[in-house]
Amino acid sequence: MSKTILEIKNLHASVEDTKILKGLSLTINIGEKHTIMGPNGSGKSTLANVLAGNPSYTMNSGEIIFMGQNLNEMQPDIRACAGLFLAFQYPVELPGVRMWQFLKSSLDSKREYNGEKPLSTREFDNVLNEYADKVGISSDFIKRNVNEGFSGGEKKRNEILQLSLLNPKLAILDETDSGLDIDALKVVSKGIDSFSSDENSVLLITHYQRILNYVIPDFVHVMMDGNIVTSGDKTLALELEEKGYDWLTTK
Amino acid sequence: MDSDKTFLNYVNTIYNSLNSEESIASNLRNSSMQSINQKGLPTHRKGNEEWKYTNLNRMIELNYSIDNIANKIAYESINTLEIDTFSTLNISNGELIDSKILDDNIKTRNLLSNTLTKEDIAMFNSTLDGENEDMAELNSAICKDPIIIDINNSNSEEKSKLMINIFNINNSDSYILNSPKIFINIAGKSNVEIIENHIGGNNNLYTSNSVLEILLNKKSKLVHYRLLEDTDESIHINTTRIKLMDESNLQSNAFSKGTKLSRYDLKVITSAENSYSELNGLYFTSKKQHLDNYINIDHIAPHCTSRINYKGILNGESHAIFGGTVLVRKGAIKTNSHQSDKNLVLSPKAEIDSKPSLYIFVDDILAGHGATAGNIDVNTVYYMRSRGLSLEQASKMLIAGFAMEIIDKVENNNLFDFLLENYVKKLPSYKFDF
Ligand SMILES: Nc1ncnc2c1ncn2[C@@H]1O[C@H](COP(=O)(O)OP(=O)(O)OP(=O)(O)O)[C@@H](O)[C@H]1O
Ligand SMILES: [Mg+2]
Repeated sequence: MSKTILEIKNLHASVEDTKILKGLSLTINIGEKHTIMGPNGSGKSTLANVLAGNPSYTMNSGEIIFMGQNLNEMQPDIRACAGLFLAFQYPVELPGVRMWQFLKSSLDSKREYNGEKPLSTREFDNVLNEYADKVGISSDFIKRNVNEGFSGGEKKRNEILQLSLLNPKLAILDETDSGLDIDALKVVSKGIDSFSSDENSVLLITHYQRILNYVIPDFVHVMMDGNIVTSGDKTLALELEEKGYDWLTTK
Repeated sequence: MDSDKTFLNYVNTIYNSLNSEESIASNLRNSSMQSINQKGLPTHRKGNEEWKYTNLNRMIELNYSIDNIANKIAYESINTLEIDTFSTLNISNGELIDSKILDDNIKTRNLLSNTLTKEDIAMFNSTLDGENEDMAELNSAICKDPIIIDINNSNSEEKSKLMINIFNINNSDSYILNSPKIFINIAGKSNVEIIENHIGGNNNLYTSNSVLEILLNKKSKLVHYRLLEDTDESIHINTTRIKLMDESNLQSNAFSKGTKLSRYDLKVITSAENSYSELNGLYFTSKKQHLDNYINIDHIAPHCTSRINYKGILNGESHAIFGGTVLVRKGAIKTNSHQSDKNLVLSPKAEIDSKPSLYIFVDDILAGHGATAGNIDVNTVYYMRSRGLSLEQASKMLIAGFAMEIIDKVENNNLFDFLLENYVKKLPSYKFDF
């Protein structure tokens, strides 16, 4: 029996009065890895942002149930504490906010929400060092301001570090594999792969088939013009890589 | 105009109460007092750009009583920053009350002591040029006890460290006017750290009109910190002049919490070649406070570098100003200068006038300036919330982060901790509309 983590029903959403998502439905069960591919501007990031609770996006109609709760009624921080995580396509720089302080506060918030005690500085340092090591973020970075002056690849590694630390139920990764060199792609992919288990779920948004060699999806969905137009297994990704998206519109 | 008269009357009362015996000090006072009586105060003259945003009527209109002229009052009950490696001077209501000097290289004298040489006297007031210095002149007319500090540690490996506490104590319910004046002469090749700490007694009513002159001689180095721990109801006007000689190096860091009205008029004068100056500032305003930064650099000599980096956090219905001019004079070739003022305006009723200006009268220099004002970025807050931080936590962290860029420049650990505790932790958080 599969347990549902996320259920999206007939979702319509807009940004600044422009309708972007047009009746999208998607169900993700625990332990599943889903991939969404689709042309630029088709609404992939919009979906991710609506799920994470970006205040610039408006949900017009439909329903999103996350772990039994109506997501629309939850503030973005509550969603995060309840186990939803979005790795941003464009991670944001936080001037003057130190990595350590930010990561510690994030984890503390989540633990507090779950009725757990915050980690001591020492316990936290141990966990942090372990994960930072894995994604190749050196201790120098921990002293720096969040994402400030980080290269594109370093920002993406940092998203994976946060994913590992917060250990969510549902990880939404918005083009975390874009703009990475080969080594960074491996690190990031491994990070996602080692996070992924039959206790959690992954929704991976990508343009490239490459990453799917490391993070093998159970489902591949194609999004066009604000809706999922077709779904399949991992072979669909290969097909898309070869043929592009045109054949789907004429189908 | 009535309040103007009353105020000048109060000033004259203070003047008349001071020792009028013929002395260097009384001569200085005398000429200043005459000039003030003739000219009146700067706010009453039209077209005065330097005072465009700050109306001194707010200072003049207060209730000063001629029966209430400040006296030496003990300051012991006030908690303030103490660092045991620093020599300390305690000035209360404009008079040097006591001192604890740990370092032979620091020497203090007062102008009244008559131990001054001709050279000392020539130096005194030498950083002032009389232009837009009416408040310094007012100070000069009624300053009880001008203090001269000589620091010479050119033969020492150790830095000389000095804390100057400037207390304002008044237990009555009418205002007092204090006029502290300090001249610091830093000898060539000396390395010095100074904390200038302005402190008010609990909820006390006062106007502090202080003057600080600093002369940085050849190859000397100064890190200067200025802290404003004034009371909410106080008025704080300060004129600071710093003259830089050859290859001298200045780092000035000004931390200001708003008061009813405050003005920081700082001018750095590059008198000789190859000096470096860095002026950092952080100011917080709230309620109906008014804070005016008037930060100037006068580039006279060639090959000098200057940096101005100020930041403000505004809340409530406060009004903050960043003005002043970087002036690059004709002879100041190869000047390298940059000024920047950035503001976080947290409340729709708070107002910032950020108008840095740059006047250049020579080619072959590098100069730039910029000013920004804005609220916290919604997308940034969203990113933080998506990691589980509450709106309040996220905004607090960002506001503190904004301030940290300046606080991070503080190398003194005690002071750094003090700033975290007394400034950063007390910053507001912001409630957004969404
Ligand atoms: N803040 C915004 N204001 C106006 N339009 C927006 C905003 N955000 C997104 N859009 C528009 O919504 C549409 C969908 O954008 P979205 O970012 O979801 O696409 P995407 O599928 O993620 O594209 P890409 O592959 O390029 O990342 C685009 O046409 C975009 O211009
Ligand atoms: Mg996108």
